[in-house]
Amino acid sequence: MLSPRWHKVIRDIWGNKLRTVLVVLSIAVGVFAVGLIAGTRETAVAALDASWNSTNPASVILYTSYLDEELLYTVRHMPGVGAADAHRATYIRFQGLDQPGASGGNASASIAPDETKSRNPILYTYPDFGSIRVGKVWPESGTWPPGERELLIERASLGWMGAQAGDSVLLKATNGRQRVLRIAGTVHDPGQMQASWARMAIGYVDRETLDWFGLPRDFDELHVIAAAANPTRDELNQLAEEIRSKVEKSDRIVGYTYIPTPGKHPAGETVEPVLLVLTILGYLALVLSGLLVVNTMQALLTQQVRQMGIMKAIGARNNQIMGIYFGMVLVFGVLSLVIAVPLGALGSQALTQFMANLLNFDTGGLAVSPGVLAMEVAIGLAVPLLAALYPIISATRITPAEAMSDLGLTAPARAAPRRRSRFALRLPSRSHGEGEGDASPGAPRRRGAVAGLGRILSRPVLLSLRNTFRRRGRLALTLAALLLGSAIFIGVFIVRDSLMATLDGMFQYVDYDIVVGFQKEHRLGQLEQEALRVPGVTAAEGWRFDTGRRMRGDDTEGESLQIRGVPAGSALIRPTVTAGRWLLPDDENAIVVNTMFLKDEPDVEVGSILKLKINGRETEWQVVGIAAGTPPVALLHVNYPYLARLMGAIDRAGILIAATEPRDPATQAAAAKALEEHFRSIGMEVASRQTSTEERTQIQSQLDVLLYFLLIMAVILAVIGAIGLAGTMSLNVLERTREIGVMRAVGASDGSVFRIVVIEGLLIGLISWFFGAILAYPLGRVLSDAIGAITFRVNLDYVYSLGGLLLWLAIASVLAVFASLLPARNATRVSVRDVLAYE
Amino acid sequence: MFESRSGKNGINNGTSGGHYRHGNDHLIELHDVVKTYRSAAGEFTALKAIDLEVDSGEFVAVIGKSGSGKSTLVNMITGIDRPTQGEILIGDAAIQTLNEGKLAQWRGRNVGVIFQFFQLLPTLTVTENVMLPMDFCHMYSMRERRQRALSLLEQVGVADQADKLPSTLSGGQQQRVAIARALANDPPILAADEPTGNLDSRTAESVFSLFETLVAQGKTILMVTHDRDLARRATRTVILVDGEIIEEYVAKTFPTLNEAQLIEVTRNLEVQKHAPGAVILRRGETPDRFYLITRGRVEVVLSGSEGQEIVASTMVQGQYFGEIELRRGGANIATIRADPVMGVEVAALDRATFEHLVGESAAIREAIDHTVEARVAENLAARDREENGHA
Repeated sequence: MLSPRWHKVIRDIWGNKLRTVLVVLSIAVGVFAVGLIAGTRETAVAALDASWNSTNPASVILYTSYLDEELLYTVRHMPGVGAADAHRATYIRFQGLDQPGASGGNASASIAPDETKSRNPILYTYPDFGSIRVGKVWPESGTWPPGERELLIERASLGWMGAQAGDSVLLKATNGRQRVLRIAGTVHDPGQMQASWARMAIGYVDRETLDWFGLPRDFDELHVIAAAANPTRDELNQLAEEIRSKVEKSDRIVGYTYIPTPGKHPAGETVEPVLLVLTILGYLALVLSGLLVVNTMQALLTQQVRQMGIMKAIGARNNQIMGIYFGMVLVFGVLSLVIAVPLGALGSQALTQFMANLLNFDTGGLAVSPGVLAMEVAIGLAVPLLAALYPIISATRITPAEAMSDLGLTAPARAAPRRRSRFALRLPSRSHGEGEGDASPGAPRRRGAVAGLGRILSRPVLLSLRNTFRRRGRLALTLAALLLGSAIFIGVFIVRDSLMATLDGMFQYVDYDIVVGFQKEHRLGQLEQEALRVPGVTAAEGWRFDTGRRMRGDDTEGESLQIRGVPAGSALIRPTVTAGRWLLPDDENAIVVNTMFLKDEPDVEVGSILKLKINGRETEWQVVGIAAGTPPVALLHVNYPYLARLMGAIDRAGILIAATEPRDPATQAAAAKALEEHFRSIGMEVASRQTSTEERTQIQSQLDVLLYFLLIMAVILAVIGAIGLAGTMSLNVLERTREIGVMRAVGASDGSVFRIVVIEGLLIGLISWFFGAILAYPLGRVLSDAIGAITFRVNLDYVYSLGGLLLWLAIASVLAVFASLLPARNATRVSVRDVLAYE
Repeated sequence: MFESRSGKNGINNGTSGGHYRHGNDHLIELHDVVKTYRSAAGEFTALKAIDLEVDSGEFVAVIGKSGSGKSTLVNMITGIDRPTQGEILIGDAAIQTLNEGKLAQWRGRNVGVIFQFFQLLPTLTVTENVMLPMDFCHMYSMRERRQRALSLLEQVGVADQADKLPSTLSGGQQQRVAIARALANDPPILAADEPTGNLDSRTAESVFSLFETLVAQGKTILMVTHDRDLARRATRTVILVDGEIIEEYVAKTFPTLNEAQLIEVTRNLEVQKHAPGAVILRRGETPDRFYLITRGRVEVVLSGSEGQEIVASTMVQGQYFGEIELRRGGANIATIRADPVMGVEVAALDRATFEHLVGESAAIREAIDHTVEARVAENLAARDREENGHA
């Protein structure tokens, strides 16, 4: 049998459903935000790594050439090698889907090439599909392993290519040969990201199919697992060095070596910092929800102060009263958990699934991990208890006389008790004039200002204005919540705009429209002349793209680098030189490095001598300049003639860079297509082509995913703000019941009362927007720097988002009005009779 | 209906005549109690050096105008508010020394508080409201609480409303529930602030009758009211004017005095306690005081022709003496002594104040002179009767 005090708790909770809903939602939304992110973080990262580890991922990958079974056998038997496998990656061009009924064979006339999308696949080939030792893939449907002249597709690539199992696709090799292959099945390769995100489809063919295309059948990637259980990075470097040495002794060239973080999905390095940023936002949401709980609890307790006085008068001690209200808070906490835990689990499952689709890993079903659940329970109970601690202690410390100061049993109203507890709540004033309780030193000035406004604004609007500032403590807490929500919302848009500005800066370097790769190198003059014959093309330059590695002083080698041989006076790039100078026509071994390169090689500066191994050949360069505003990869620029000479290909180039006029995406695409057709017509086969718009879209689409995540958090924060405002407005209306009744008694219509409440809500919304806009400036910078570090490893070019500012103004206004509608409706339901019957 | 309590702050039965723990003879004693409120508007003293004694079983009506301090006085006694200065002894407890927690517990067990606006908790049923003090003070077992609540509701006549919420009850019914709640822990004292102030006269009458029944059962009741008719039915009235207690019998004796005069007179009164049989005025001596009987009785003793004592009359509380000589001059014509059994408590007014009062008010002068005439005649008649009887 429950004692009466617990009956009171239950009935107080049940009796005021709106208030209960507001408190519970305020807590739930914070728990949800944290549960969502923590759950996602835990399940997604764990599933990502589990999925990755199921593939037997390589500890070391060497990109080499002419790798055959014999060398593979040798490597497999090297000391320190646990397992080794060879892969071949073949870049091929997707020409479109074959029409039904078409059979495999040479190019079918029924294929309608889709020229607007570049959805080219990489085809992987293994020595033995039946026993892949490193970098496993898992058959999902159809045939396994791929038969001759058959294609298996990675499951996440099917949709991207617009194909289905059983379809036939037309593929074109770099040698120009076109073949139609049937998609015989699908496989899951957890090491491959979603094709739409990576903007690259993945397929699998056997070596006979490569023969059929006339393509090389040897392997070019050596995937090795170390024999040691948990090798250190140094041990892996050493192993890589030993294997590289072995490979190079067989007269093969190792292009570059990649040592992934052991046990971690390659995308984990990007995903985890993103989740960390989201976690910080999640905790911010929790702080906001805590502020709302403080607000609501304070109001709730203010309403209960009299009852506390009565309970004290009939014998209740402070700790008993505290017990009642802490009990009530705990019930609120439990109710919020009932809502937030399942929603958080659903949300994190959806978010994990979203990430799983992007990163192509499998997830378990709906589950809440004990750790996350424990955290949610702790937060769901501790946050409201902490938030309510001060209001409850304040309220219960009031003496019964103070608590019942307007009842018959206490002192006359003219003499408010002074011996008020240090913790005393500010009790609502019981007078009902417009300027009630405003006896602070600044009040005359404020009244003066309001009087001035009175000449412009109507009385109800003025009343709204004054009401807004009446409960300044509550307003401050509501504003704090709304303000942070506003600032973060605008901040997210600042991040977006800053990302775009940074991308713009990077693409400012790009003053070209089309990059065409040829199957073999051609004479420079011919390339440029022929390109200029194509309509729309206004400028053309022949470049070299070579790959190399830095050879450091300590005998270690750096990451793979792209070395661009460009004409010193190129009109098609606009690098921003931050130190030193750009290339001059007479330069020989001069090199300009970019800022991204310096992130990995911080010891390099203008004047440094840089040793590079390019295509297996060791070369020496002097750094003459540092360039910024380039695409977000390590890039080295050297003088084309010197590089061509060094590579033994004087006056020859395999890359054509072209500009078009006009420069819109459609013209670029049309010109790119025309270029390919023109070159083919003169026997110069094109291996690849890409417009600068496509290049940018590819990067942008990856950034969009990050922005979606940030936007989800912004929306959660906006919802918290709206709940907070709705709560504040409801409490304001509740406390002003008598005043509203009096206004109605003197002739206020439903419309007037409604307007007063809604305008007050709107004012709060606008104030939060205004100050949020100011706070967004530094907050956006912090967020931008964090996101910049994750994405481009640089501080973003900071841009304050006017679009975000205006969008939030609109959203905040709408939310504020919506948040005030219900309280306003309640206000219009107050009747004069109710008020007169009050007490 | 006091029960003896052994708790630290409990109230021992004072009816046995024994002293309470802090040396107080009366159930309720206030000594020099001052209550000052401070606010932005300045200081306001609601109670000014109040002294008050209430015995067990008394039904005390506290009356006074709005703002006179009557509610503050009751708040001091219930421990709802604390004095700025002074001592409040209730039974064995010096309540100004108790911390808030102990005070609440003490109050819950020893004082039942009844409010003008009932102040029932709106979300609890009538029975639960009555059970709440038992719950807070850990009195009775869970099962007994409900039984007791129902029994109290039966006693106050609202048992049929037991499971309803307070908002569904009439004002009178709610106040009865509030009284049942006040009785929940069977406290010896009930403090009621305008308990009938929010009720119609018929309902007020029934609530008042309930109080009378409770007093008959041994409860001590302090009731703030501004209804003088109801106050008259209490066994004693405490009048508060501007934060000071006016001697009840001064007000009754001099009904035409204004508030300032009442305060002046009360301030100049000297309370004297005389043992049974003690002489207060001796015949032949020149008196310098006017006396009001506040408790007990006195005997008016004349001397017969043979020197024998003649008890001419007995005067009880509310009556005064010493006025004949003060008005006529000369020595005392009779000896006044305390009742030989119960003794007497008198309030003595010095000659100067008395003469100032009489000189200021023609109505008082006339009333007192009229009493003087009557008493002289009565004394003479008594002596004649006595002497004739002797003869």
